[in-house]
Amino acid sequence: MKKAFKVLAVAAMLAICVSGVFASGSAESDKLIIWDKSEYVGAYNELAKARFEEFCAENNVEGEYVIVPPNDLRQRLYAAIEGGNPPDIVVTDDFMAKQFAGMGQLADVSDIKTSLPFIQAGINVSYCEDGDFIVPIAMLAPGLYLRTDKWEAAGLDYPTTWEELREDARIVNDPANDFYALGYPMGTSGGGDAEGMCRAVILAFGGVPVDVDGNVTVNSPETLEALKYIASLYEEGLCPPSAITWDDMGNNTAYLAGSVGVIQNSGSLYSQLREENPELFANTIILPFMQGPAGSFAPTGSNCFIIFTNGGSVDMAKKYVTEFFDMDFYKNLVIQMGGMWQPVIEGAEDDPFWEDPENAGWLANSLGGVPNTYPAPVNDATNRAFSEQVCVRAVQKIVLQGMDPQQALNELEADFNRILGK
Amino acid sequence: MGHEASIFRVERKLGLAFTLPIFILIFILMGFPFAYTIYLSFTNKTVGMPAQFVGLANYISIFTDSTYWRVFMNTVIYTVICIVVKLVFGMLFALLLNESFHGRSITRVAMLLPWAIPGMVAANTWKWMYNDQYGIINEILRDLHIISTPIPWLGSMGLALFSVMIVNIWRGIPFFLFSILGALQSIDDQLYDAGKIDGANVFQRFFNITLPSIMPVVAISTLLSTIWTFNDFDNIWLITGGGPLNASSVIATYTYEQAFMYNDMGTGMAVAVSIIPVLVILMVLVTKHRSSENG
Amino acid sequence: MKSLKHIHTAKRIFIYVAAVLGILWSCFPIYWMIKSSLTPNDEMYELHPSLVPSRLTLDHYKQLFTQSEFMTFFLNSVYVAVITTLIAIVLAILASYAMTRLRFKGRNFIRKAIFYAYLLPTAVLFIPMYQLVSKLGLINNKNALIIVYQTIVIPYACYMLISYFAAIPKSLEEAAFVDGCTHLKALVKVILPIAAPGIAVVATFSFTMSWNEYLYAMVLMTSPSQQTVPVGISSFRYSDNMIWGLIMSSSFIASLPAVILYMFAQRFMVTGLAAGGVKQ
Repeated sequence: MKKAFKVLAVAAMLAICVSGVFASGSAESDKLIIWDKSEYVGAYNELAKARFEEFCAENNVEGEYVIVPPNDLRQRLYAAIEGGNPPDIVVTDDFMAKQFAGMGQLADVSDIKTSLPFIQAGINVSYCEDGDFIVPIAMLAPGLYLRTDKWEAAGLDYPTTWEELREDARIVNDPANDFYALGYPMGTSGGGDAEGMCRAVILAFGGVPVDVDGNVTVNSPETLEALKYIASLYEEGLCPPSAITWDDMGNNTAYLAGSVGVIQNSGSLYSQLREENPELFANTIILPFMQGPAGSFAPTGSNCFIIFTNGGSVDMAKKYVTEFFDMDFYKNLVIQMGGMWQPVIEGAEDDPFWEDPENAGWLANSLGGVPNTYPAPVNDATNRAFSEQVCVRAVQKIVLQGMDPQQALNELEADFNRILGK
Repeated sequence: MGHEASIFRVERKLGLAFTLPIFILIFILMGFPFAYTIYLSFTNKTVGMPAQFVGLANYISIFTDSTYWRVFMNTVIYTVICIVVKLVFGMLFALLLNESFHGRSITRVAMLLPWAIPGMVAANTWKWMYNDQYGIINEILRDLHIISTPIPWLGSMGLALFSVMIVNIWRGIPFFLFSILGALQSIDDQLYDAGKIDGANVFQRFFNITLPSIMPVVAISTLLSTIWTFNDFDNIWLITGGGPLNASSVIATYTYEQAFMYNDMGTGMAVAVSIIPVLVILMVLVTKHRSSENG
Repeated sequence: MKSLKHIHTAKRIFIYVAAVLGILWSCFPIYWMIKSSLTPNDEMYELHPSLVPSRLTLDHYKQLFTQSEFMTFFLNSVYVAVITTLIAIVLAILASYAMTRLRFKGRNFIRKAIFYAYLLPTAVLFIPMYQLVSKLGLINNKNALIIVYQTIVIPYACYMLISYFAAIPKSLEEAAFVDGCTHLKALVKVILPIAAPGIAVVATFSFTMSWNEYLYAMVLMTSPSQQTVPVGISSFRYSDNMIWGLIMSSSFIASLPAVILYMFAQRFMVTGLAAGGVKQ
């Protein structure tokens, strides 16, 4: 019996000691840590890593370059913030960055912003009311991808307005052969493509969800028309039936499968097409966003740096971010992304690469964009209204529940008031 | 008498020594996360900001929100249907794979596979297969002339929950199957022989011998699987994101949406904590039944 | 006699039909996964997908092993899952034996209480768990996963083993006590052989649970040298595109260990039965 006890005592002790023995984690406060975004274009992470390591060697600091897939960033960062040891620098998109702006976690970067010649679009996209926390890295202009072969087969000119787009779509549409003219995702689960599309149409039709002073002005005849327009794309079957639940990946895959004629996307798909499907790539043209009675609005995002004060190396982090924009390195980096990224520093577009018509198109798109929450002030409340995808929900109610559009609009107004009233 | 007492003393010591390690691992390790989550549900916590105590405000706001109740009902429907189907088919296939036939080993391995692949991959594979245009499911149904127009598996209010249930069932059957199979194989063959001699038919043997022997395992598998199904997150989040219009939202996805997508941890934690009583009642019912069985 | 034979044939047919249906149902999505892992990129998305790809390629596997850190992830996963399973099974066997066979104070309490580890989903627990592991100084140390996974695996293993042990008649052990066996000896000599099929199942499932766990692994491990397979697979997703070839090929490789383990465990099932029979 004693033997049994001994065995057990050992087993129990082992279990307890497991935690103690394995404890070998080191406190890493003076280490410079960067969490970079993983990019489809592998060259980006290689170049950025080399740049970071070079910087650390020059400045004699220990550095750690970590690649974080965008889908994992939110959970990892939330945990790290709550655990009190966030990384020093994080690369993410501006929409995500703005969600951290109100937390009192980020370092003010106005000194970096004034010391470098950022273009106005870059300043605009990184602006937020809570403070100057965001340094843009590159614009991610959206483009309208259109299947030239389908349009040519139907003998149509390329559309320029939302109205023309719908008329063309009715002709090109061929559901019997599994081809739908349009591929706009309208699900609420991922990214901001769906809400961005709704906002673009509402603005183009002359509606203003929230005005410059932060008043909810969504309930207008213009917005009503816009909602009816968007809903009609689904009700008339111009988009695939499942598009109503697509996330941001839905339109990419549908386009790659050749099952839709038009999608809206950043340049990421463009790179993938070139790489994986040259035939489809040759039949694709990138157009500017459609016009409406009030003009053309393209919600445009960017990649950006944010610096965490709790990371412990704010000065070194700022130095790295500033030196990242070394003209030769930066210019080449953006070009390596093959048009998918557009520069935010004046003079970086000064290269034959950007004279190529396709790349020039992306560049032009990047300059005319508006922030997601336009024209409302950028703060926690307006950002939350965007991430709750209130406009998408309104469209879903009309399409899926057959709700009267005016009723859906009234509920949309109530949603805005609830969120902005908080 | 003295002998009896000394046996009891030995059992007491041994019992504590045997259970102490898991007590330490489970209670110490889970204690903080568990208590902290419950605490947060009474605060207005957001990530990066200190928490302020707000009493029952979060609970009042979720209980008066019709979306919460809709999500709650979805969760109940999702859990009950999935569990019943998984249990029935798990049991049937366990009985089948307990018979000896050619190819039994390969069938067993094949039927384990759905559990063996990572959840994220299973969810995305099914999502791809469900696609109304280039998904293989609609393609096969059309080739067989069962349907003429594609079915929007994930895009319709009525089908979305059903479609994610299929995936949960697909992933969950192996759990029941193999748990029950393990129990079946521990049954003493002599019991069956005795039953045969008594002239009991297949069904009598099943209800009088098989079922009582595997009942403890069936009860516990059902309980565990119910909890897992109740808290299932990956599956629904990756396939429909709870959409369209919350048609396939369950408590776990709703929690995540509130806590992390909208950074309202207080409310999110309250949603998660609000279902604990349901799970505890369920557990008490099952274990009470079980303890009385063991005497 | 004739009708008996008739019934027998009908039963055979039924068994084979059911087995084929079971295999089709379980393996069709797996087949789709393997097919995709062998499909060249330009055929990955087709409007009318075919069941059999027109061309096969091993490029995705080549890329997986030469251009990604998949092997590191794989070895980390093997390390974490094997040790987690071993610790959990040993501890759970001891505890389950105590909770079914020994009378001691607090038995029912512990038995009910281990359950609480399952009341909240990991989707809400990951932040406080990170804080705890951070306090222990174990962030980005794969051994932390071995400890944390015990909270996922042990309650399952205990509950299943309790029910397997409970089904074993007490008379078998009592015979061993008469022969002068201690409790531990009775556990090893009598209970374990009979419960071997059940233990094999519990071990297989414990292994797959720790093998496939994603959220804790993703949050607690920050560098590739410590990360596990599910995190590695997830890294083949970019913001709005998925590299299906790599995702599917890595998933296929990732599902192999559980299958191999199960085939290995199946031997135990047979010997378990035989051993139980001999003991009678």
